[in-house]
Amino acid sequence: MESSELKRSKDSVNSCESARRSSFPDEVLERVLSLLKSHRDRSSVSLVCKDWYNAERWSRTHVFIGNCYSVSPEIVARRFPRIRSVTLKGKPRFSDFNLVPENWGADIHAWLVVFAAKYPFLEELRLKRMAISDESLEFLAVSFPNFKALSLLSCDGFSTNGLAAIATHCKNLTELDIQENGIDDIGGSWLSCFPESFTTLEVLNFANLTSDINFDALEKLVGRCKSMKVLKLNRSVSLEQLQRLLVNAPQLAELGTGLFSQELTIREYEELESALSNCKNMHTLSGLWDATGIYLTALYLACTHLTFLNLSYAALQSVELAKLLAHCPQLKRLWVLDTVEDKGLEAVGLNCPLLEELRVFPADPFDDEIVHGVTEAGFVAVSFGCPRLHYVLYFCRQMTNAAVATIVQNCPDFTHFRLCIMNPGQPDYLTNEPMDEAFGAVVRTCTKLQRLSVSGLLTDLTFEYIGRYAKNLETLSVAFAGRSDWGMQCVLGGCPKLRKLEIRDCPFGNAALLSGLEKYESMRSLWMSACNVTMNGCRLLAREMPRLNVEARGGMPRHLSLLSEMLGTRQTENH
Amino acid sequence: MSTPLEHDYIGLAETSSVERSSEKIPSSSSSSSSSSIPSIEDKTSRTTNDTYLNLKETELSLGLPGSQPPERKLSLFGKDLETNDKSNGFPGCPLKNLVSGAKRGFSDAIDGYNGKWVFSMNGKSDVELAKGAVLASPRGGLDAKSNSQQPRTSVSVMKQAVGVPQSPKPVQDEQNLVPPVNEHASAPAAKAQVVGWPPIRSFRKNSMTSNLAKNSDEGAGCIYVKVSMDGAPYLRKVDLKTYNNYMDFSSALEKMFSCFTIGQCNSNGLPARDGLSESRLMDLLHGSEYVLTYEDKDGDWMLVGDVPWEMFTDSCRRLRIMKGSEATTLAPRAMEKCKNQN
Repeated sequence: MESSELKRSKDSVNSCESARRSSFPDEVLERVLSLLKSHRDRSSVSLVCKDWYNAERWSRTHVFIGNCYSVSPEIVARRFPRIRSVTLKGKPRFSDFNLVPENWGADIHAWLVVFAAKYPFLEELRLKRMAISDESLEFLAVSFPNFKALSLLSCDGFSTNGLAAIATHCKNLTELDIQENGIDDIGGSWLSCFPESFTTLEVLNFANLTSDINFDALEKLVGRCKSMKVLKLNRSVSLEQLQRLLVNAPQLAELGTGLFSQELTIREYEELESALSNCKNMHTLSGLWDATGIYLTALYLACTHLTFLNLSYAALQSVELAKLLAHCPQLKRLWVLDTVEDKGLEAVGLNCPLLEELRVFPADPFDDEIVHGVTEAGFVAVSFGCPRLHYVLYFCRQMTNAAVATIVQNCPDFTHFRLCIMNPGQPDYLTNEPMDEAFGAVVRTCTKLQRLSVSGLLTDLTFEYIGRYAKNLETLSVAFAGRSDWGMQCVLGGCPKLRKLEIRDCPFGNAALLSGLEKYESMRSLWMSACNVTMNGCRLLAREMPRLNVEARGGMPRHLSLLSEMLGTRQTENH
Repeated sequence: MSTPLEHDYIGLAETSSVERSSEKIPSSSSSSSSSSIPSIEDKTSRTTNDTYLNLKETELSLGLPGSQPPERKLSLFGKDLETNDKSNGFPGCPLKNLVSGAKRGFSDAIDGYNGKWVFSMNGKSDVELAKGAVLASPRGGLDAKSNSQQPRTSVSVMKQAVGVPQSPKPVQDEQNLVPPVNEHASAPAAKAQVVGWPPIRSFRKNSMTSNLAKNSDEGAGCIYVKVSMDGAPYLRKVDLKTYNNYMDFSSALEKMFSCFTIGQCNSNGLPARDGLSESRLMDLLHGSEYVLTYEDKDGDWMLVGDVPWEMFTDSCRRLRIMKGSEATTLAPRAMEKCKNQN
C-alpha cells in the first residue's frame, strides 16, 4: 500500500468513526482481500459487514461449490462477478461404488451456459463426480477463449471425442487432467488434435484411458511443451516409449508411467534407467502397471527425491517393495497393493521415517477364499516406524482393538483414518468383541481427526465415542454398523464440525434422521441408504426443513442433499 | 434411453425401471432356469402396482432440476434365487469342472475368457449364504411397497440393482462381482456379494479386470493360479510368470506353505524363517506325504512335472498340494510317474 493511500484511509477512519462504518476505501479492501485464498477465511470475511461482503465478492476469483445442488449458477454469477476458476462437485461419494443410479443428475451444462454469459474469461474448471457430455465439452472449448485448465475426476458421460474438442479449440490450455472417469474411450486420436503450434501444456494426465494413443503425436507434443511438469500416461505406453518421452522431458516433476513390464535389452534397460534418473525434479511417481521386480530396479536412482510413490497398480511382493523403498528415503506418501503383505509394510516402517500418508488397496477384494493381504500387524509396524503418519486408508481382513490402540498411540496426529475391514460386521478376531474400542481410541487420541471411516462389528458405543470426542470431525463414513437410532443420534448431537455423513446398511431410522434437523443446516450432505428410514420420515424432514434439498427414493438409496450456502463452503479435500 | 439388461452373478436379468416393470423380464432374457422367472415376475408384478402408485405419490425430488425419477431396476430376492438356482443359471453355458455343490461359473457375457473358474462352496449351504448375506440389505422396489411405513424386515439379498455405469466395458464390470485377479471368469466367492462393498472405486476395479482381459487375450502379463493345500485353512495365489522352471516354483511353494505343514507360524500366518522347516517340506513334498498336482485346461488333474515348464504354465489352471493317499485319483500314468519318483 502506498503511504499516501494509508494516510487517506486513516483520515477517513477518523472522519467516519462516529458513523461506525468500515471505512477502508473499497479498492484497498479489495486489494487486501484478494490476497486471501482460503475459502473459509473468505467466508468469514464476508460475514463481517456489508462492505466487507461486497469487497470479498468483488475480489474473489475462485469459487468452490461442494454440492452443485446447493445453489444455482445464476446466484453464483450474481454474487461473484469476477470468477476465473470454478470447482464443482456433484454426485454423492457413494456413486463411486455404484450406489447412485445412472442419470441421477449433476449435469454441468446448465452451469456452462451461465458461465459462458457471465464469465467469458473463465480459465479453470475442476469437476468431481459431475455428468458432462461431449457436447458440453465442445461448448466449453469454444466459449472461453482464455480457458486454461480442465480437471475431470470421477465424472462420466463423455467420450474421447469431447477431449478432441478441447485439444482442438483451447489454444491456451495448460492443464488437461482426466482422472478415474467413466469415459467412453473411442480411441486415442484426440491427442493428435493439439495443433502443431500448441506449446503451453503443463499438465497432461490421461492415465484413465485404455486405448492406444497416437504415440507419435504424443512424443511431438511432449517435445514442444517445454513447461510440462506433470505427465501421466496410460497403460498403452510401453517402457521403450516412456524412455523416448523422458529424454525430451527431464524437467518433469510428476510422472505416471505406462505399462511397466516389457522385455528390454540390456541397452534399452540402461537407457530407461538413465532417462528416469535424469529427471532431477521428479517428486511423484505413479502408473507402474504390472511392474515386476526386474524392472523396478530401473527406478532406484530416480527415487532419491521422491515424495509420493503410487504403486497401487503394481502387484508387488514384500521383498520387491522392501528393495525399492530402500531407495526412497524422502517418501511422504505411499500407495500400495496388499500383495506386499505385512512384511512389506514392515519395510515401510523401516525405510520411510518421513511417511505421512499410506494407502493399502486390496488386490483381491471380492475373493474371500484367498487370504493374502495385510493384517493388523502390518499397520502396527508402520505406526512404529512412521510417527508422522496422519493419513491412512487401509483395507484388511482382520483387525484387533488392541492393534488400533497401539497405532494411534504411536501416531496421534491422524487427520484421516479410513479403516476398511472387508468382511462386514467382523469383530476383533482375537477377542471376538466389537471394534468399538478401536474407534474409541482413535477419536480420543487423535484430536485433529477430520475424516473417519469405520468398519467391523460396531455397536452404538462407537458412535457415542465419536459424538463425544471427535471435535474436529468433518466427514464420517459408516457401513454395516450400529445397533439403534441412538448411534446416529450421538453423532448428530456431537461432532460440532460435521459436514458430510454417509451411511449405508445401518439400523438407523426416522428418529435418528429427524434428530439432526439443526445439524443439517451446517452440513454439506447426508447420505443414508439401506437403513430404516421411511418415506414418511423423509417427508417430515422436508417439511421441517424447507430449505433443504431432500431427495428420497423409495427402495433406493435415500440421498439427502442439504443446502449449504456458499458462505459455508469449505476447502477442497483429498477425496 | 433403453437400459441394458443387467445380469447378476446368477445370470438372471433384472427388470427395468419401476414404471416399466409391468413389461417384466423380456423373453429374450438369456438367463435363468425357467422355473425362477415366473416367481420373480410374480413378485414384481405384485409389487409394481403398489410401488408405482406409491412412488408417484411420495416422490420428493426437490431441487433436482428437470429430472424424471431415474430408472431403477428391481433387485431379485435372495430367497427366490436361492431356491430356484441350485442349478446352473446360465443356459447354453456348459460348466466344465463343475464340482457338486459348487457355484455356477460366470455367464457367456464375459468375452475372451478361456474357461470357467469354479469356486468350491467349501461346504457352505445356501442357508448359510443367506445368513452371510444378512448384513447386506435388500434393495429394490419392495421397499417402497405399501408397507413403506414399516422398517424393512426382509434381509435376504442378492446384489442391488443400480444403474449401469456408462463405460463400454462388458457387463461383469458393472458391479463388484468380478473377481479382480485371474484370467478366468469367476463366480463370486461363497458369500453373497454386496453392492459397492468393499468400497473400491470403479476405475480401480476396472483396471484389475481389464488386466485380466488383456492377459487372457494376449497371454502376456501375469498368470495367477490358486494353490490350495489339503488341510491348509486358506488358499494362496501365485503368478506362474514369475518362475522360470520347476525348481524355482517348487521352492517358492515350499516357502509359502511351510507354515501349514510345520505349524510354525507367527500370528500373522507368515511362514517361519526356520531353514529347517523348508527342507522338511521338501522332504514332505518329494516323499510320500504330499503330491503337487494341477488342473489343466481340460479339467484333468495331473501331476506337476510331467510336461515342459512352458507347457505347464500354459495349461495349468489351478494347483493343489494333495495328500499322497488321495493321489490315487490321478490319471494312472501320473500315478505311475509318482510311484517311480518315490
